[in-house]
Parts: sequence; C-alpha cells; structure tokens
Amino acid sequence: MMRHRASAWVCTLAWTVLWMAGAARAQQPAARNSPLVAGDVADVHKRPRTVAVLPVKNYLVRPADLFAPEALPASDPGALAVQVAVLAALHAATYVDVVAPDGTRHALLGAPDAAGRVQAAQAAYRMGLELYLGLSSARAIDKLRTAGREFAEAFTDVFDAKASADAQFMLGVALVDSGRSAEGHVALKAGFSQQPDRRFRRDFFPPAAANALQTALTDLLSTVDPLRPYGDNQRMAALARKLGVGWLVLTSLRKGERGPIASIAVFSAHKRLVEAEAHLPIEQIGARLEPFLSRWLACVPIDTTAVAPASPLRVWTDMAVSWAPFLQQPTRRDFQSLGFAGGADVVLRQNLHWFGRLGLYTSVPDAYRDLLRSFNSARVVTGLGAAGRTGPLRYFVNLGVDAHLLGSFVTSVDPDCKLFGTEHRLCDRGSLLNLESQVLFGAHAAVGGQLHLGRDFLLALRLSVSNYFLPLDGTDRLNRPLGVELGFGYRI
Amino acid sequence: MKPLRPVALGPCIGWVLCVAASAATACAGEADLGGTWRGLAQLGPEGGDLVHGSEGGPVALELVIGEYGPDVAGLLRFFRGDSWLRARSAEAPDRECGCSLLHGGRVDASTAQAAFTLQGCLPGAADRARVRARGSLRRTTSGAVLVITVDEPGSPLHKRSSTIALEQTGGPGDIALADLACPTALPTGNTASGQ
Repeated sequence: MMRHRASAWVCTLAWTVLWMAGAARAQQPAARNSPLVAGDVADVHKRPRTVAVLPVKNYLVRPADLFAPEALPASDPGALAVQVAVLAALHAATYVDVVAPDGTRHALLGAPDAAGRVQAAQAAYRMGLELYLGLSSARAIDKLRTAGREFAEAFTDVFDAKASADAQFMLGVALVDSGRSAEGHVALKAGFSQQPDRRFRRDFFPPAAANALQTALTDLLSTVDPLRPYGDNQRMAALARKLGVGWLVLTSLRKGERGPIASIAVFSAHKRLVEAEAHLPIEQIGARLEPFLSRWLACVPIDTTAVAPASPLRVWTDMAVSWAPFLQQPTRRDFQSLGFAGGADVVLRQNLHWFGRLGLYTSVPDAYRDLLRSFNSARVVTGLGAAGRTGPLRYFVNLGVDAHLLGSFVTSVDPDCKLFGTEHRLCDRGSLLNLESQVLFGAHAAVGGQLHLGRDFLLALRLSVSNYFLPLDGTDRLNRPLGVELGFGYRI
Repeated sequence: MKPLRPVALGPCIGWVLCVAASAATACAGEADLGGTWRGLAQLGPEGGDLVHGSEGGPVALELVIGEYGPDVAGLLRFFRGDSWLRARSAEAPDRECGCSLLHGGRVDASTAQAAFTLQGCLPGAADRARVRARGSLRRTTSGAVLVITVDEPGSPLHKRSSTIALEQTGGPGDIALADLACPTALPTGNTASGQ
C-alpha cells in the first residue's frame, strides 16, 4: 500500500514538472532575434526589414517667391523623381518591406487615436480661424495652438502637411498681430518646416505678417537640418513605432553650389538615430542612390523568427540558510534542522535545467529532549527542473533524487537515558533508537523562485519535500523532510 | 523594479531562525524544575524528624534533577552538616545512606510540581532499611519545596514525612557528569559510600 502511494506521489510530481515545462515554454517570450549573416539561416526564416519612406521635403524655394504662387508648379517634378527613385531602389532590394508615403498615410490615419485627434485639430483650427477673423486674437491663439499640438501628435505633417502647416501659419500671424513677434516667428517657422514650399497670394496678409512670414522662411532655410526634415530623433522614433517599422527614409531637397541636392537619411528606430546618410546631386540620383542603399542594407542584420539561437549555457547558483523539519520522526515533539544549502541550476534548454544541491544540517533539540544528541546530517539532491520567467522573477519546479547521510541520530523517551546517559544502568536500552551513519535514498521535489535584484544577483527562495524509499526497512522512523531555503545567488 | 537591499534581509533571516528555534524549544510547557537544588532538613515539628543525621544533627540535601517535558529523572544526595551548603566537603550523614535515585518522575506543568519515588534508605531512619518513599518537588517564589513521605506499609516510618525548603544552585545546563555519580545500591538498599 505504501509503495503504491509512493508511486502515485512520484507520478504526480513528474506530471507536474512536465506540465510546468509546457506552461513555461508557452509563456516564454519569443526568442530574441539575433543578427546573423544571410548564410546562417534558411530564407524562409529571414524576416524582411520594414522601411517607411516619408514624403520628400522640398527646400528648393526662395523667400522672394513666397508671395508668387505662379513661381512654383503644383507638384515639383524634382521631388517626385527623387521619391520614385528611392522607392524603386528599396523595392529592388531583397528582404525589405517598403511602406510608401501612401501606406504611411493609411497607417497613421488608421491608428486608434488618429481620427479623433485629427478631427479635434481641424475643429480647433476652424474655430481659431473664425475667432481670428472676428478679431478675437487672444482666444484664436489658444485654439490655434491646440490645433497645432493635435496635428503634431497625429503626425499630420507626414500625410497632410498643408493642414498641419496652416494651423501654425495662422497661429504665427495671430501672434504677430497681437504684438508677440518672437512667438509668432517661432510658429511661422514651424509652419514652413512642415511645408517649406508653401506659397501665398499677394496682399493676403497685412504687411507686418507678410514680413514675418518672409523672415521665418529665410530663417528656416538657413538653419534647417536636411537630414531631419520631420523632427528630432525622439519624434522619429515615435513615428516609427506608430508605423511599426524598423527604419524611416527621410529625404529633402535643398540648393547646392552646383545644383539641387537630395539629402537622404536612414533613421533606425532601434538605435534611435540616423544610421546612414547621403547627399547626392539630383542629376546623379539614378547612379548613386542604389549603391548607397546597398551599402546600408549590407550593414543591417536580417532578423530571423523561426530559428532561435542556441541557448547559451547559464548557471544559477545560490547559497541559502535552510530550515528542514521532518514530517515523520521518532521523537514525541518535532525537532528542527537548521543549516546551509547551496547549489546550482544549469540551464540545458530554454526552460529545462539540471540542478544539484548540497545541504549541511544540525538539529535544534526537541521540546522533550527525546533526541539525545545534536543530530548532524548531509544531504545531496539532484535532478531536472522546469523553469519560467516573469519579469525579474524566475520560477521553477524540480524533481529528482535525494541522498541523506544521517550522522549520530539517537533518540529515547526514557528520562534516565537523557540525564545519566545511554550506558547507565537505569537507562532502558529498549527505548533507544540509533540511526547512526545510515544513508536514506528517495524522491525529491521542489518549487521556488529567484528574484533578480540587479546585475546578476538574485534573492532565492525554495520549498522542497523528499520521501525516502531506501533502505526498505529503515525509512519508517525518520522520513519526509521538508525544506525551506532562503538565500542569495548569482547568475553566471 | 526596485531591488531589495540585502542589508535589510539579514536581520529578518536571523529573526525567522530565532523564532523557529525558540518555537522548537521553548514552547514545551515545562515546570522549570531542572537543575541542582540544595537545602537543609530542619528537625523538629516544622520539618519533621524523618531525615536527620545519625548523631541527630541536621542533614543537607542535594537534588539533581533533569526535566524532559512530562518526565523527570535525577538523584537525591544527603550530606552531614550545614557547612556543606557553603562548601561541598562534608561527609555523608550516614556512610550507607548517601544517595538515592529518582524513579518514575512525572511533571505536572500546570502546578509546577514534580512527583517521583525514591528507593533506598533515609539518613536517621531507625533501621537504615530500604524503604519506598514518595517525593514531590514544588516550585515556590523563592525556590522549591521538597516533601518526602515514606510509603512502605510495615515500616515504622510509614506515612512519616519531611518537608525541606530548597534553593536552586544550578540550572539544567550546569549539571556535570560528576554530579550524577550515585554508587550502586547494596542489597540492603543502601549505597556503598556517601559520595
């Protein structure tokens, strides 16, 4: 009967470990993609690099033409040609998923909060415009400022630059009208940074505002960074995150000494910086764009999804204070064992490890002093375990074998044996139990966790229980040690 | 996540271990009678005349007792002269009634009292014959009181008793091996020497 119970116990524990291993595997985050050279993995496992191409920003304008709408065609053929060339070069590359400007527009407008933001911005803009025309400049400024902020939050300047820029232009004009020239300059410059090739009808604005517009455009053209036409790295990282792409291609046109120059920057969302840039004369775009993009792509690792890299060998060590009472013991009152235990978990696979532990214990006397001497023992446990991770916590279930070397273990319920010693004539020898130097073998199970404290240091907690089966006639008096261990560890 | 500070955990671990150890050892409900007790058997109406020296002088007693949960074990020694209370050098009051072992000792923790039996002669007894006596040790505010009552039908000492006030001179941890020497009883029930 006892053997059947023991077998059922072991089977239950084994099933628990297997179940935990499965659960831990399911909860395990996807393997981090590692840079690999193309030949390391099969093509089916390679994940394309996602690149969004933002509309070309055209700085090929002159402040003198600001109020000459006829000086600029409806669409600049130079900018269009550069954009087409960039898209063609990226489409021709392997393992690249290209998001064209149209796709960018759809992605941004399809974002959960985009429609609401754009509608709110448009409403604020219309109200601000009406207030401005109604000569309520102060209230108009508030509304237009709100509109500009909402447009910027929705990245409207990427897919509808005119709407976004108009809010800034009207804000700037309202500020200039209110005598706040410096703030107006900033707003007007922001408007031109979103739509630098904007033109206005003559006499549309009063002279002061017209001058401010011209000054702002002049300032922008002299200070603009052609590699960041849509804002700084932080804003670009947010945009890439919103688009779900790894890279952004930012292109702008500006004047060069010998003709227009296309500045092309590749922004990495992962690195949060421009990782490749080129300044190419427009007439050389056809010849020099493809080599530039090829050089960049050659340096960008191809992510893999289906193949996880081999798990590096990890060893989790710890040393703990241990409390180990026995559930089955010959003394009338419980005696406790205290000691130290240490060991290591060697990771074999992502969620499977081998463990080994050594514990050294000494006893605390029981209440009736039935344990005649201090009881020392050494314990070795080893086996396999399943582990999982949740944030800074690594948790595990272990199942293995336990070998327990008992030191001097002598008990008696006779008080004369306790006071006078076991050799005294009054001591009843029949009351003595001596398990000295016996080795018990059995099954061992443990659960626990290791909390990552920082760097590679850990706080470790482990609860365990063992059940001894061998020797067959020697486990009925002292058996089933529990274990509670608390200590610190280090991950190697 | 804010990492835990190891310095704060050390005392906690120690505290937990202390509590565990204390719970294991200190919650036994003992009467706290273990140790070494000494006293002088007074003669006369108050103390009774069961125990006295062969010359009729006072007898000093030493009770060495070990308490183990509900059980006690120990021995009772008799010495001559009150000077022994200050210097353990006096001879036994009767060379053949120096020591008796306690048997069947039990503790009633609720009354802080231990009861046991003694098998042997008592100093000053008329015939120095082996008698069976019941002993009880009860804790008091200033020490303990030992009552010895002869329970030997047929003996002239039957039902006679002595009450001796004791003071504790050593705790349970102070009992040395030498304190437990009690020579083998002779067929008469007496011991071979007073040591």
